[in-house]
Amino acid sequence: MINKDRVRTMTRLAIYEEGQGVADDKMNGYFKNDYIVGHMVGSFVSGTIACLLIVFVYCCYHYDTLLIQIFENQVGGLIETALTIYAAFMVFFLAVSFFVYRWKYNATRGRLDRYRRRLEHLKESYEKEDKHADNRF
Amino acid sequence: MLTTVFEIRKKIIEAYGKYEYIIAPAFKFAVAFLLILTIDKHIGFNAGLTNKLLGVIIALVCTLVPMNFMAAIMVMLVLAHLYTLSLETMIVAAVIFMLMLLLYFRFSPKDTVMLLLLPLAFVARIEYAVPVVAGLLFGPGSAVGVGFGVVITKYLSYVEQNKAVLGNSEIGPATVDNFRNIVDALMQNKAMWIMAGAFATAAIVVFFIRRVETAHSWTIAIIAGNVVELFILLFGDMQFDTNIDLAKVFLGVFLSLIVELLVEFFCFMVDYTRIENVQFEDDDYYYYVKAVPKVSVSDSIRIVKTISTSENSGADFREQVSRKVTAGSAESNE
Repeated sequence: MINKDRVRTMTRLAIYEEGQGVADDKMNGYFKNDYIVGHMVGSFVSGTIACLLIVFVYCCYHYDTLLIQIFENQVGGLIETALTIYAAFMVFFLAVSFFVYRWKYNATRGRLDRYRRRLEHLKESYEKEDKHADNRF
Repeated sequence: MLTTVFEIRKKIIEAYGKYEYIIAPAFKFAVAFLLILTIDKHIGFNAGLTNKLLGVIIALVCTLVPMNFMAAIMVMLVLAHLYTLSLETMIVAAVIFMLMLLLYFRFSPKDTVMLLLLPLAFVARIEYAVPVVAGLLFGPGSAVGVGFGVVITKYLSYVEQNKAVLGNSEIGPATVDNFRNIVDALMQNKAMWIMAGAFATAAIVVFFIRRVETAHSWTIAIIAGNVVELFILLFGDMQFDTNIDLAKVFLGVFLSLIVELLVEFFCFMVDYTRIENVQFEDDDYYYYVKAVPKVSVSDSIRIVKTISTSENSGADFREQVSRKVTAGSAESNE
């Protein structure tokens, strides 16, 4: 007879393994700190590229005044302001990245724990069935 | 009446489960094709790309690839059309898309679906439903995605309305002037920023309210989300004189409410009249658990009456009815 409970558990396991489990399995190979730091490096690169894009738009918008400032050697103040804004933005962005990836890591750990518990439940179910069969003979 | 509605819901969900392999690609094809048609209609500046057959081919390709790849294809299509109009419109759009990718979608790649659905929702006048549905089904971070979606949709709408002015093919001083005009129009579009703020706030409010441990939290969250949207839009209109069309806003919110309630109906239907509060303990903790049962209906038993004029009609009729009832009960027990 089909064990409905076991089929349900196996279906849930299969759904997880084929869906979210693929991404979670990749993350499972990292320690928490390595995972967070690795992604924060990625966030640093992304944030820097985003800032460069904004600088590009700013330069295109103010190109005539910028040219005058460059010829008159008055860009020092502007660069200083830009670097201050960049630093403030990066601190904020990296802090957000830290919390997001820490939360993601913890959530993935939770899913993996649930997956492990289901596997154990399945194993117990088979063991119980084997024991039952042994007792009959 | 209510039981019939729940039966229909159950049948729809069962049918979806049974034919998911057809429905899911068909949905993706429909979204992709409708998006292509919308893009062609509003910013279809490149005649070669507005070909319907090409649209069908691109939509078919989109059914085979993940949602994120589909979003990338749509972005390329939009940029190609904008490039045909003018370089500066394409550059501004590319910068917005890049900022979206670098600052937000890097954290939450699954939310690109909102970027695809928001322009369609604007066309169908149910745009107010998107932040509420995002708050119901995604996390609080979806507020950023919704906000970006509003910015890009409104930008494309601006390009469509000003295509005669922006369509300057010569690269030179006029290009820089056009670029400045576009950036100014984007930054000074108070209606757009207020709408983006309203949508982002609504998504966050909905997310936090639907997680509150109270009965009807989803319904309360939906109503609160719509109230927040309306309040911010009306307050913004009064403060910054954005000239929003109140009739359109109220109609849009009303239509969106229907969509939001449908989403609630299919995704979260529980029976608050049968809440059970249980308390138990183990070695380490006391547990106070509130269990809210899902609404479930069993299949109704159909009795087929066969009326016959033959001599043994009474005996036949009783036999047939008893046979059908037995069969019906057996089916529902399964």
